[in-house]
Amino acid sequence: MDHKTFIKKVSDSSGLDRDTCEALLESLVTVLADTISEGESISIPSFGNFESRKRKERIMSHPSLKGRRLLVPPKLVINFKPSTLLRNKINE
Amino acid sequence: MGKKILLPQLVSMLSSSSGMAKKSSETFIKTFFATLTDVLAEHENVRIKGFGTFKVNRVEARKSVNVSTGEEMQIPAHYKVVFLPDKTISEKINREFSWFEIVEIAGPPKTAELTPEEEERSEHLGEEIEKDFGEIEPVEPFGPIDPDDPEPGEPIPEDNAAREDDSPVPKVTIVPPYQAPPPVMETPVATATQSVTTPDHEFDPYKLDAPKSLDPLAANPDSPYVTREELAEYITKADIKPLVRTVKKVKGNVDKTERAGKIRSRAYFIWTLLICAALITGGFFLVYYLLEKKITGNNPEQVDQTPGSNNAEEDTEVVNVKLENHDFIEAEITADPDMEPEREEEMPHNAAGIQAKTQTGSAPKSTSTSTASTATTASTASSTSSSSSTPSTSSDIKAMDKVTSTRYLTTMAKEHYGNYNLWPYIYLENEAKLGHPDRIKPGTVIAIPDIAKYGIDPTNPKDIEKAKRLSVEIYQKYSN
Repeated sequence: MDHKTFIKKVSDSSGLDRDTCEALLESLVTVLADTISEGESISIPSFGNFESRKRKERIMSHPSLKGRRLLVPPKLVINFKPSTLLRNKINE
Repeated sequence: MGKKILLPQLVSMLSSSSGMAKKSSETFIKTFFATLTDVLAEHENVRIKGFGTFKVNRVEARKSVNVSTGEEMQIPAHYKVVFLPDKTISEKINREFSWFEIVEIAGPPKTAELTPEEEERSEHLGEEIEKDFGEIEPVEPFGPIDPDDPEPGEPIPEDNAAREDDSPVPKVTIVPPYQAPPPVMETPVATATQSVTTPDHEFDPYKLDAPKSLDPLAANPDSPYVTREELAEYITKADIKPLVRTVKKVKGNVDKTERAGKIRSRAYFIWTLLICAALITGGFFLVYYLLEKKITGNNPEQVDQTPGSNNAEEDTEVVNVKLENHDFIEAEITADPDMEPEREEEMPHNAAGIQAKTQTGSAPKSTSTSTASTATTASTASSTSSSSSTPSTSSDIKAMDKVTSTRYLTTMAKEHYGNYNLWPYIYLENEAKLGHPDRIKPGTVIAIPDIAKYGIDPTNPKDIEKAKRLSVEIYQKYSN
């Protein structure tokens, strides 16, 4: 399902108009990004948790890079852990 | 892992960030994720712009062991939900680390070979280090190491960042990091802590503004690469050879660029000197020329007469002045064609040459210093302007005008016809008494014809083109 369709669905279910949904989605992303970049996690009930993980620095030796080796710096990534409820629903 | 933010707090954060009411924010969050659940339950992937993609992947059945009983069991095939963040959000999250750069490592990995003594020593290095630095506390700035994060040497899972067009992200496998010098770094870090810190230095990546240096060796204290000084402490010279070559390369590159920079700046310096010398020489020529002018009391050059031009009726002299554009007169300096031959060609619509200084009453100096003239191309060899002020014919005349030091044929054309390019027609009208169009004596009376006499319409661009071609012809006449 693409972005447009999904937002439409959300807007229909919630009763909020599409622009409001888009705006709220944007703020959600911002809030999420800020929280994660500070190392905290967000828990959505019956859905799951968005957590931050740190990737260590690593040496990348990719054949397409003609044997050059790159030192990739460490970084923070966002990780999603589905809740039990969601997992069960998926597997019905 | 730090705080865990729950729904009420999220709602207030959302409403303050978006400016919407709390109720709306709450409804949105609940509906959003409920809808998402429903769609995913249908095993359909959802892609949300600016956020990421939620995918449902199938996991095949696999054999496993029951952890409590130890007996084999089968994990059945099932589905799992996967979230692949969008580029936008990944970048936002990684802002704190964005000043890191991917650095290329020179040279293939080399394994260091230790002598048995060093081998022995390496086992006790931890104690040695603790003796020097005191007990080192492992610091975990991000909390405990993510158990899912692969150990070095293991293949890393598909990188989290999803691509915009959903094309497959290439799998990356890592090569075991460069092993040297294993004894030095590994033992203190062997407990898989992220950074070795001296007790008085606290590393808090969230509070960093910028790296102290862009040298990866300095920015990453727990990087497997050490400086030569640290190396020398722990390993004898025999073993440095293979290592130093690699380290040297990293540093050698810096030297090379420095040297190249020095050579480059020296080259610039030399060029600047040459240009300055050329300018100074040019300046000297100019001064010499000006002085010469003063000494001769007049123009350093006289101009030839062309046949067919009225001349020498009066004792006025013609000073040839080439004008840059018809708004600018160099009253003092006569153009020396020697010095600036290129100016001759440039100005098809140039204003009439103006006599900047007339000297009445002085004896005409008729000889030409033809050196200057012959040396130049184009119209220098051409005539002086006519000096007479014979009255013009009075038929088809729109107006009478007079050339002065500020009024040229082009000015007149602009005024009477609306386009200065139409000056050739004024010239034609008065051709009998005019010589070179750029060299018309101020005071010459000009008859301005009705432009319709030549079949020209000032508003027609084609006629403007005609006029321009005509001007070229006129100039060509005088350049022969």
